[in-house]
Amino acid sequence: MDRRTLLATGIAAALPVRAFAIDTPIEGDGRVPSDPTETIALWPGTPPSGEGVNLPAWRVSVRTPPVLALADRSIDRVGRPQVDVFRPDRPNGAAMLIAPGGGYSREVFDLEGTDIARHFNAMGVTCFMLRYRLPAEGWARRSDVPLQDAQRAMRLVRANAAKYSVDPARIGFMGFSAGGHLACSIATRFDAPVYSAVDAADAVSARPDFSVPMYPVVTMGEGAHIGSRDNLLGSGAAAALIDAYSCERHVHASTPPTFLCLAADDTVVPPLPNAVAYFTALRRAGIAAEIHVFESGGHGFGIANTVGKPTAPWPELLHTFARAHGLFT
Amino acid sequence: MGWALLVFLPMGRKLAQNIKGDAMDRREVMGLGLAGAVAFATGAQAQGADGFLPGDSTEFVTLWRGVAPGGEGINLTLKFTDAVQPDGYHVRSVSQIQRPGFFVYRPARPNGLSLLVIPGGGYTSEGMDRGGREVAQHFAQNGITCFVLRYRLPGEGWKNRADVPLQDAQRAMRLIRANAARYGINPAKLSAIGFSAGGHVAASLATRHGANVYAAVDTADTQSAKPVVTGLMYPVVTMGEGAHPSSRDMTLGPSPSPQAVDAYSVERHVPADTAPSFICLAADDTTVPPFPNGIALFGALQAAKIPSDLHVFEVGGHGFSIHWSQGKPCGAWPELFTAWAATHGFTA
Repeated sequence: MDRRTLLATGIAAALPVRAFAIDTPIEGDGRVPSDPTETIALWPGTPPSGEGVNLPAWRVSVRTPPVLALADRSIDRVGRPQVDVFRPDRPNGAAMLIAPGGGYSREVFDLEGTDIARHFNAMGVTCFMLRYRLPAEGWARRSDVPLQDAQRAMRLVRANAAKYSVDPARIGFMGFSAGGHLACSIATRFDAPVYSAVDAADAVSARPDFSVPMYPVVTMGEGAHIGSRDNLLGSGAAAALIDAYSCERHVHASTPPTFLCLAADDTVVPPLPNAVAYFTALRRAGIAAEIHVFESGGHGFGIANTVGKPTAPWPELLHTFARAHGLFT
Repeated sequence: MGWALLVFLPMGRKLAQNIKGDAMDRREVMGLGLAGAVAFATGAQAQGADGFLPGDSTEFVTLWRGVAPGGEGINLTLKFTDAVQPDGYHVRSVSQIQRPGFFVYRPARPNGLSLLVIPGGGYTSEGMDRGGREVAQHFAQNGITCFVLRYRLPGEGWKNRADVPLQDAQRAMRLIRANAARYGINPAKLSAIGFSAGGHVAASLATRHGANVYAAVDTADTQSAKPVVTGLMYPVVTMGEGAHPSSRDMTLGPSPSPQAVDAYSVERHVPADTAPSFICLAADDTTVPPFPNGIALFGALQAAKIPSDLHVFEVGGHGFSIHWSQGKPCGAWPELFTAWAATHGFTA
């Protein structure tokens, strides 16, 4: 049965989204015509921590059934991290890096990537979708590999702001689920020396001007999302390692303004020890922050799964938050 | 804040308070009270000597026949306090409430839904417009019939002081349901929303709608007092650590026992039949601190598996209601509330 048949019969919309979803690897690069052709390779040669790692081209999987009208792809085996550039018709200077989620074992890059980028493009925001390395794919310093890529992406975008018609002081970082852990990591550890400078871009700040963790994985301690934790830290991680990568414990005065959104019925990443604990830490540190916990929405709603539901206004709530901070127009 | 304050005691109202019966409307009040009202002060006449401002509902329904529960020997005269803000917005609050009731706001096109609106004021007074009329008018535009509660204040001499606001809220829910046809509403679609101390009343109603806090007066008291859903706007919740001082002192009196503090801290008592709840506040609320109040209640609701929504806006302060949320991100709250409430059957 192809996607069109599913949509025509309405089955796709009626099925619980993640319960029966299966990611099936496909041959080739999985490109669709609407994919942007403008990309930024993050590292000139071998990425940091990459000695001896030899991953083939990334593997693309397609989810069946797909979420609504999305191609609904994911990737793993990310040996060559990059950014896909989504330029709006009328850029207004605002920019957002977008880190899709997938439990640090893959990246669900349509539901939590291309679809998000297009939505914010329509608001004039230039979007940069991050294809970050996955920590459990053989890298030395596995736990810092996603943050290395996130920092480097922020620096490259900011260093080349003019080229992308972007205001270097209006760059946000949004992440979903495990990508939300990455968003919280760069919000709290934007200046952590996790790699050696490669070029002049590395002199530029990697601090996001605002942070948008969506139903984020935050803690590696009690209440952690097990898959994300084990992929990031390895199984049986020591207490010190758990502490170091539990973002709620590392909020400080320079953490950027933060917009959090999730659903109370999220059984994959429990709200209280993750997003709510992070919000608590932010407010304790006096950081401007907003949180929306919708009663229902589950995990992984992106935008496509909010249509006609109470979660639908989240992009608009984010827009007004960012506008109040002068980050969006 | 540079607000102009003006307090007056309308003599006419006292006369009006002696009217017996369930309902009286403004025409009756005005008719009986006119002489006194005209006599007392021409200066305050512009604001309405009977305590009404332009746009206020003129349909007022009293809750109790005769003396309200625990009210023997109490003789209060309504007191209105006005504050005019620098932008000219006029805010009126009321205290010394002997005869509680509700003001009916009927929409042009009623859709059968209805909402008990419970204003705040730290249990020392109650906003009439803020958290009251302006909320009712907003929701009435969407077809929702609104009832703005004027509840008794716990620190004004009543027996069982701490239960007095809940007595009134329960009774109002029951009277509205018993008279649903008269108001053109569906009694199965009555919800409640409370602001600040009124949020404490609403949260008490959500958790203690079946609590036996007064002896039945008439057949209306066989009705359920449970809201379909409950809106809790920057609510006072706890009477313990982090309590809003005046709300706590008015409710419990000076030096309350640990048992009393516990009993009226809503976050500590969330039974399984608690109404679904929507909590909305601003992170920069310095009057009612978010964490020990609204956010703690959300945690308790989650622990008890009560359906609940939480929205904490970065900016808004305390008491943003409708007027103070205009043009701010928190101005989204009424739509968030109605979209969420619709998922619980609060839909036409």
